[in-house]
Formats: sequence, structure tokens, C-alpha cells
Amino acid sequence: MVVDGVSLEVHRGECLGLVGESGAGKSLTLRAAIGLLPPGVRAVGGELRLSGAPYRASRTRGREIGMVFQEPTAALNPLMRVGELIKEGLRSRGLKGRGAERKVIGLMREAGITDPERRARSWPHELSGGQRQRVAIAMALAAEPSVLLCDEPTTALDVTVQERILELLDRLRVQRDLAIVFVTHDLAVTARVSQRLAVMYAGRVVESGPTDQLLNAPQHPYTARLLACLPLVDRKRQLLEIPGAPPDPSAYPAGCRFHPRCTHARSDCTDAPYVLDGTQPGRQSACIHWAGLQDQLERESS
Amino acid sequence: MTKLRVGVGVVAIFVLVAVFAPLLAPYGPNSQNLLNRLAGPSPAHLLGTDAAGRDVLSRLFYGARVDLPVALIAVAIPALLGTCLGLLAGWYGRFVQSAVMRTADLVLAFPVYVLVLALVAALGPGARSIIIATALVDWVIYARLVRAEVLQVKGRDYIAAARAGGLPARRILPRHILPNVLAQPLVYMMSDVVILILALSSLSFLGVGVPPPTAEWGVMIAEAEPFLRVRPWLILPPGLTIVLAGIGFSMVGDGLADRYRR
Repeated sequence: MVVDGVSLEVHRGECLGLVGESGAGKSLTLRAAIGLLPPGVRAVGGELRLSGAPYRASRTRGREIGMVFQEPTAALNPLMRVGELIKEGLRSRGLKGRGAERKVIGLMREAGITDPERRARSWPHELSGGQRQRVAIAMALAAEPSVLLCDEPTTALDVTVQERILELLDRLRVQRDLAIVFVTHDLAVTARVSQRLAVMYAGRVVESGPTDQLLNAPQHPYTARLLACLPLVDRKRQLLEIPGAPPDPSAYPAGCRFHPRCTHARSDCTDAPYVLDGTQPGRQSACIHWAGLQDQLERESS
Repeated sequence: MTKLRVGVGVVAIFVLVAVFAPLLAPYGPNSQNLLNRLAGPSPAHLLGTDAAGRDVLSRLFYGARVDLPVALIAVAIPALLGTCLGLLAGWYGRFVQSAVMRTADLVLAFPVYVLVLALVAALGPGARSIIIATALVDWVIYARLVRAEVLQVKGRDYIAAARAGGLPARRILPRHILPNVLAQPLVYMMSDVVILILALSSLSFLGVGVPPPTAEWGVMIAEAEPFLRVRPWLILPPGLTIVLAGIGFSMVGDGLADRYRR
């Protein structure tokens, strides 16, 4: 079991950040929600709800839920023109012909593509990385989804382009009242786009809560260690990496899965049951010692 | 690139000859002149005449009208069939895949020529039998090729994106998968035409292909064979023609392969 016990909730007009190291199960969680698990991976249980009603991933694809991928180059069929690609997304809504073409131009404009009439006739390889990602976003929007799943959509882009795409997603969230789930391993990016945050480690959510609170006062040692890895301009301190590597899904440690790498681990961590407990209104932590963590962290940094 | 050009050029010449054979050929394919049998090359008969006094050059030209279409049809049908089955097998996996691939294994367990020969013998000689027999055997290669490609392409993000867009399989397979896997079967088809031309003439040579007196390259070789010692040049024109056609199609296939690999 690579991922289990993960429960996420996202509201309209809100962006939920899902962060963690590579292999934490972020992308799998996201793909499970839209029923696009890679070959060899199966969802054995769980429940998906949309506006409170259970749904089947295969039925909602291309209607209520859209997805943006990490590599815009890989996510665009190289043998279809940009306009055709976006038009494909309109099919699930029964839009064809002239109406569809006008809609394609509208979507491209909304995604911030300049000169959409000309660009619609381009091939994907003729566009820059940022333009490609905008096309991918226009494709995802074609179905008028209420939920947009983003799988590291800015990781493959350089920093200035990254910022533009984040601006675009922010604008779309507000204008379209979209619910966005944003997977990333980049805390700086998630701080920029998300209102709430869920931190994943070894297939579980270890902490969640409002982004600013969570980043300022983490209640799980893993979150704290992730933050210590971030370079900050205004603070002179040493960058600390987390010792060791994330565990292999076939051999997750017993108890708290982070305890072998945790500097705050105590003897009872090895058999601590996994419970994502409420700590404050809107915040949860899976660390059984979360209450004392803040004091310890302050003592360490002083 | 030159390989592709030369190949296309050679193939184009063959096609033109086949289409315009009645205009190009100096004589009819079966018009005999029994007083001028087994003659060597001369201005009147550029490649000489055969045992029945028929003009060899004219028969070569008319032969193209038999060999090329039969070979092309005999390749196109299994290519189409195999590509469709490969698409389905690669996409759906599980039962469909097992059904298609185990059937393919079954066909592959027999030596190709023996199987084709047996089928043709059972169906009766003639071009139609050869086409049916190859269709039954040859689809296997296309199915395996295409399935392997589909398995690769299926995992790409643009297919995930198409599925995320809610497109049904009947749309994704032809529009998103097929164009991206077409290169392999297309390249193989060119080599396959060569194999089929050879198979067709071999079968005709063996007497189970196109029945004489039809002007066909394999038939011509078979008819020249008894005179191999006394009139050795008789066997060369049809033999070299088959070689040339083979080289032409091979070069097209090779050129296409180079092009797609880039």
C-alpha cells in the first residue's frame, strides 16, 4: 500500500497545496481522484465526493474535474495542432464546429495566450514551455470543471515563467470560483498559491492547515525540517537537509513513519498509531508530540 | 534521405510500368510467335523471346500488373487487421490482450512459408488464395508491433490528458494513439511488400500461385528454368526484376525508418 488513509477536502475558490518529497504519494493521490492511476497501480478502497455526492472518477473526467500535468511537452499530443487539442476537450460537452472554434479562441485568451487565432494553428513543438503549459491549462478548462488538479505544473518551467503560470492559476481560481489541488515539492510555490496546505510523508498526510499558520508554526517535525531546507534571504542560518531517504513503500517503518529520520523522535514514536488529530481550529497534525514541538524548535533556533 | 528518394523513384517506376503496361509493351503478354522461340535479344525483342515465342520484355511489364497489386493487397489486409487488433490488445490489456496475443503465438508456432503453402494448397491456387492465406498469417507481426507501441504511448501524459478530458476510448484510440504508433507498421509494410513479392513468385514457381500462362515474374522464372543450361539469359530478366523491386521497397522502408528515428 503506497498511499493510505489520506483524506483531503477542497472548497470552491480555494487552492489546497499538497507538498512532500518525491515518492510521498502526492501525485498518486491526485491521480486516484481522477481515476488515472499509472499501470500497475490500483485503487483498492476509498471514496470520492463532489459537492457532497459520491462520484465515479471515470464518469466525472472531463466534466467536473480537470487536470494539468507536470511536463507540458509530454502532456500535449505532438501530432495535433494546439487548436485541435483544446477542441478535443470541448467534445465531452458536445461542442463541435464553429461554436467550438470560437470557444477554443476564448479559452486560449483566458489562459493568457497571445495571438490565439494564429497560435491555434501551431504545433506543440513550436511553442515555448510556458505557452505549452497555458495550452494545457486551456485544455483542462475546456470542460468547464469545478475542480482543477495540478500535478507540479510549474516544476518544469523556469522561475519567471513559473510566476506567470501561478498568477494565471490564481486569477482563474478567483474568476471561475475553481477548487484547485496543487501538488508540489516546492514550499515557496505552495506558499504563493495555496490557502490551505497538506503535507504528505510516506503515503500519509502528516499535517494540514492554513498555509500561513502551517509555514510559520509547523506542528509536525517533518514540516519543520522541510522548512529548514528552504534558503531565506533575510535570515542567516545554515541550510539543513533531512538525513536519510524517504522509506520504500514496500517497507514503511512501524508507528510514525517519519520516526527513523526525526530528530525529535522518542521511544513511543515507534508504535504510535496514525491519527491525524485536530490541534487547533482548521489544523491537524499526526505527530503525537506536536504540543511540545513549538517550544523545542524555538529553543533549537535560539 | 537519398535512400528514401531513390527507393521512391524505383517504386514509382514500377508503378508507372504496371499502370501503362499496355502502352509500353511492344507486344501482348501472350501473343506467340512459334517461329521465333527462345531467341536472344534483338531490336525487335529487346530481351528476347521465351519457349513459346512470347516477348520477354512485354511479359515483364504485364507481370508488374499482377505482382504489385497482389503483393500490395496481400500486405494491406493483414496490416490493417493486425494494427486494429494490436491497438485493442495494447489498450484494453487483460482478456483482449490474452486472446489476441495467444492467437498470435499459435500462428507463430508454425513456420510462415509452410503455413502459407498449406493454406494456399487447401484454398486452391490463385492470387485470391495467396491474399487470404497471408492475411491469416501476417497480421500477427503487425499486431505484435502495434501492441508494443501502444503500451509505450499509453503511458504518456498526453494520453492521460486526453483521458482526463473525458474522451472515450473510441475517440482516443484512432485520434490520439493511432497516429503516434503508425510509424512502425508503416515501415514494416515496406519490407513486407518485398517478402510478399518473393512469396508470390515462389508460390507461382512451385505451381500453387498464379497459374500459367499469366505473365507473372515467378511463372516466368519457372518457365525459364528448364532452359537454364541452353538459354541462361531467359531467367535473368524476371529474376533481376524481382531483385530490383525488392531493393526499391526496402530502400523506401529503410528511408522511412531513418526518418522516424530522428
